[in-house]
Amino acid sequence: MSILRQFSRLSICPTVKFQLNRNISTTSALTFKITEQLWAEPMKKKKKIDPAIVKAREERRRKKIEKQIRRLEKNARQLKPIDELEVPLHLMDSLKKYKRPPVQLSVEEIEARELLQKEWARYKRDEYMNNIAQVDRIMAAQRRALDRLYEESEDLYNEAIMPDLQLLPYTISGPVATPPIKDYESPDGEYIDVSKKWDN
Amino acid sequence: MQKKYKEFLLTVEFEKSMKSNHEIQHENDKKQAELFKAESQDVDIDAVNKVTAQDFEDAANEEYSKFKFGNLETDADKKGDKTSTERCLQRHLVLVTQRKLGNDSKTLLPQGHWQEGETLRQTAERIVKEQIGSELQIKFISNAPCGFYKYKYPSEMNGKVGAKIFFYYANYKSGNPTKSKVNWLTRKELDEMLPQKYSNAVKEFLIEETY
Repeated sequence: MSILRQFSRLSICPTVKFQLNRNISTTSALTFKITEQLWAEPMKKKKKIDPAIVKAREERRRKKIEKQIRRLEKNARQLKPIDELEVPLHLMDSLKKYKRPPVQLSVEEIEARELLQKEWARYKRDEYMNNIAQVDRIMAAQRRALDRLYEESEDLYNEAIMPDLQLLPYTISGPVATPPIKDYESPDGEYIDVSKKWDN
Repeated sequence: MQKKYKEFLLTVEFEKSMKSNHEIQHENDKKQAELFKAESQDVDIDAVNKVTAQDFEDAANEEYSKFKFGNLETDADKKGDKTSTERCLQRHLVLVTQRKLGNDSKTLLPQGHWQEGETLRQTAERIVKEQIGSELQIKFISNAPCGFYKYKYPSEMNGKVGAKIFFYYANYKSGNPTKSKVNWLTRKELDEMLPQKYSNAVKEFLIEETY
C-alpha cells in the first residue's frame, strides 16, 4: 500500500485516495522507500578559494581597466587632423553673446570708404609699375655694362658671366620700425619653445 | 596714403569681428558696478572681480607708455655725422670717398685701375681693401658689373684718352673703414655731391626712393 502511495506522487493526477491504514504486522514490516523527487541538484559545497588568488584576480581586473583608460587618454593626447576638428560645444552655445550689434553706416561714409579703396588700388598699381620699371632699368644698365665689357675684352666678359657659386645662401635684413636699444636686458629669463609641431 | 588705408582696414576689421573675452568681462564688470550702486545690498561680492577688466587695460597702457622704444633718429642723425652707418636707418646709404683726378679731388665711389690677370671683380675687391681698409666686410653680389661710365681725360695722360669705369654692386656686412675718410650718403646727397654725369650713370643701377 505504501508503495502505491509513493508512486502516486510521481503521477500528475491523483489516482488513489489516501486511506489511513494502520497496519499491524507480526513480522518486521518491509517498507520500501523511493528517494524523494528532486527537480534540481543539491547545492555544491562551497570551496574556500585562496585569498591570494582572489587578490590576484582583482589586481588583474584593475590593471585591465587602467590600461584601457590610458589608451583612451593617449588617443585624446594625439592631435586630430585639421579636417576632423569641430567647434567646441560651449563656444557654439555662447555664440550669441559674442556678437556685436550690427553697425549702421551713413551713405557718405560708405561712399568715402569706396573712394578710399579705389585710391588705394590706384596707388598700389603705380607702386607696382614703378617697381617693374626700376627692375627693368637696373637690368638694362647691367646689360649695357656687359656689352661694353665685351667690346673691351672677351676674356673679362667671359669671366664676368660666370655664375657666383658662393653667393647662396644669402640673407639680408631690412629696415626696422624701431632700432634695437643698446645694452637692453630682456626681462624674461628663458624661452621654452611651446610651438606645436605638425608632422605628416 | 598708407596710413589712411591702414586705419580704414582696422576699423572694418573691428566692425566685422566678434567680441573678445576681455570685452565681455568688461561689460559684466560694468553691469555689476551698476547693480552695486543701484541696490544698496551687495549683489555678489564674489562675482565682482577684484581686478576688473578696466584696471587690466589701464595697467597695460601704462606699461606701454613707460617703455621707450629705440629712437629712429639716432645720434648720428642729430649730429649730421656722415661717416657712420647708423644714419637714416630707413634709407639706403652709399659709400663714397675722396679721390684725386688730375688736379682736383672729387667725391666718388671708390675706384682704381684694373691690372692684368685679374677678373674685374677681383679688381673691385682689391680696390676696396686698398682704399678703405680690410676691416670692412662686404658681400659682392655677382661677377658681372652692374653699371658703366665712360669719360675722357681733360688732357692725354700716359697715352690714354679716357677711362671706362665698371661698377660692381656689393652689400655692406660689418666693419669700419679705416684708411681714408669715407662718407655714407643717401640718394639726395649723392645727387648733390657727385659730378652730374657720373651721378646719372650711378643712379641707373640703384633703387629709387619715393619718399
